[in-house]
Amino acid sequence: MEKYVTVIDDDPIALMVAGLVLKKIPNIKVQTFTDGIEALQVLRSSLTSDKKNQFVFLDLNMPLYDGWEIVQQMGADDSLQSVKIVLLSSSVDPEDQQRAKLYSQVIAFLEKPLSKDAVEKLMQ
Amino acid sequence: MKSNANKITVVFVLVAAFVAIVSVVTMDAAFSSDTFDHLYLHIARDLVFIILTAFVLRYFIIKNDQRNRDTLRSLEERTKAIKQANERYDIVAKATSDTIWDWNIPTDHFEWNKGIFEIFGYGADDIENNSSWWFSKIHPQDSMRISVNLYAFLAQKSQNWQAEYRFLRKDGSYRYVLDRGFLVFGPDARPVRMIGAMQDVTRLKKEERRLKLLETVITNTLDSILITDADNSKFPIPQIVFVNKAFANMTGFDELELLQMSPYQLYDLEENRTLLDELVLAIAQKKTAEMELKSARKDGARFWVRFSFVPVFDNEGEHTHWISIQRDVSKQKEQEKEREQLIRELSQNNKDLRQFSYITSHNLRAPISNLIGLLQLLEEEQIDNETVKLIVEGFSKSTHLLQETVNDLGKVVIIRDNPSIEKQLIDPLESLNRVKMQIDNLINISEVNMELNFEPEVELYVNRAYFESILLNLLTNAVKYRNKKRPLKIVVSLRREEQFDRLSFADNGLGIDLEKHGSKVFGLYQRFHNLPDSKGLGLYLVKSQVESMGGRIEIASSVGCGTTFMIDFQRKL
Repeated sequence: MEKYVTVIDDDPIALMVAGLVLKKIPNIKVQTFTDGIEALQVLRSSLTSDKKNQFVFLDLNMPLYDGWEIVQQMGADDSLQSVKIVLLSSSVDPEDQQRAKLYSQVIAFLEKPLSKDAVEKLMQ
Repeated sequence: MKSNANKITVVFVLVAAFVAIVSVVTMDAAFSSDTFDHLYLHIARDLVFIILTAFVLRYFIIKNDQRNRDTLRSLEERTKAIKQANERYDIVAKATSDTIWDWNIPTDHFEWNKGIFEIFGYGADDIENNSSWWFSKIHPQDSMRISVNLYAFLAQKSQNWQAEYRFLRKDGSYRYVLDRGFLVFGPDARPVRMIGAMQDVTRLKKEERRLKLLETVITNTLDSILITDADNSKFPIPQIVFVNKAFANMTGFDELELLQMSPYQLYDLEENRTLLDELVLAIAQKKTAEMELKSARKDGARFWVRFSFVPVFDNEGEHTHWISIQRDVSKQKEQEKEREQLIRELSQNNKDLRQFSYITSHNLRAPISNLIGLLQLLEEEQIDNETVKLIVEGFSKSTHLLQETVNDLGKVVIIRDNPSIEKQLIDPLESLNRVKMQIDNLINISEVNMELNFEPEVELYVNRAYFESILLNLLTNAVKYRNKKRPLKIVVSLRREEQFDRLSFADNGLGIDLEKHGSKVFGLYQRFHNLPDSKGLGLYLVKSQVESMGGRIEIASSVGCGTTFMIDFQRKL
């Protein structure tokens, strides 16, 4: 089954790495954004009825809206509530991990760089 | 007595009358007196004469008698008085606690009462009854003064003598005595006798010296001392009755000025309103008070004074005075302020540094994870050019080292920031195996001859992540700094001690010159071997982790033989 992954990271290189890693995995469609708000807008308008296979890979440390704000906005948005969120960070702060547990929408917390193995495990 | 005189008179009259009659009769017969009448006349005349004489005689006898009787009576009275006086002297000499001496000056005979035995401990055999013995017992430092004093007194012809000196006891100790003497003069106005009473004033003397010492303390101490009376009707704090020199110096007022004042007038009323109210209340309630106030000198200069106010009560429990010990603490106050300022600055610096290290570690991590990601993508690509392959390999090694360093730094920051870490009981063998697996891709662990000496069933009370990080560091260090001339051997042992569990980790590697580097082995950025991938962080991290778990680490090493680390982990209470 096709999976749709939206990657949001302000760092274009990180975005490129993530894109390249995800493209190697079969049955995944990837779109990448450096701007979280823009990503949400596109996501809202392009959402299929099959929300179960929708994933957002979200970098926590972004300058304008940080990852947590995006998480909150998605939680408050009816159409985005059932989209699964995977948090990304180059350093896993235990505090962030605790905080992630507060959102049921967040299904995982991955350390950057994204690895093929980790994503495949997640998608199963 | 009168009857005696009468008897003598009668006898005299009878005998004289008989002689007169016989002589008249005899003479008359011899000279043949002419008439009988003539004879009678003679006798009558003689008798008249005799009776008159008898009366005169009687008068004298009676008078003489009277005088004798008077003399006798006064003699008796004097004897009685002397006897009474002697008795009184004996009683006094026995009853007094003084030691009485009695010196007969012309014969130099010297007598002591019982005091010489009871107070000074001498026996009867010890005493010689002369004045030299007395003098020989006076303290050498006093005897010159006393002898001069005594001779001057004897020459002076006054009666009362008094001196203080130390008198030797039989046991060799000296007692202070106050000796009061009374001099008796002979008929020729020369001194014949002296009586003295020695009072033991040792206790008084000691007390006096103690008081003098206390007074010296009050006068000379650097602390300012103030005494007020108990009457707070005139001022809220009673009036000063005594100040020592230090107090006068501290306040700049002289003593006489201060005696007119109340301490209330010495404090800065504006700045100490609440504290002063507290003090006044304590005074009203007769309670001890202690505080620091801003005080004013006579010249207006302000200074901080720390003081106590303590009420003093007399034997009847009546509150009589306040004593106050005060000290100028301006300098300390100043230093305290500086210290506080310093601490504030330091903690701000610390906070900034911590912030800085967090940001740095994160800002470094983001590009590093990109690099790692890119390298991982590159690894999957086929590279035919050998040079490019070598470059990519070098690139990859450096990037991974950079990542490790930043990770270690990040861990250090986290440890430093969380001084206490959660601990649990873990199986050390399980952790060791996990760590071995982790580094299996870096080195071929099977090449390492590893010997385990674990006391069975000992669980360690540690933080698992830290413990594994410690093992990882020690293990990679052992591999990194192995002696290439011989196969690496590592002995890990675990022993349970009374207070802690001791893990020792020994290798036969290069070793560290502890003489040279001992003090900084566990320091930050200390490297002891010239190897490309040594970061100078590992042991610092190990030590930080050990200590954050309440343990301690020691090292023993000799160059060329190997290194042993001993880590003591706290046991679970």
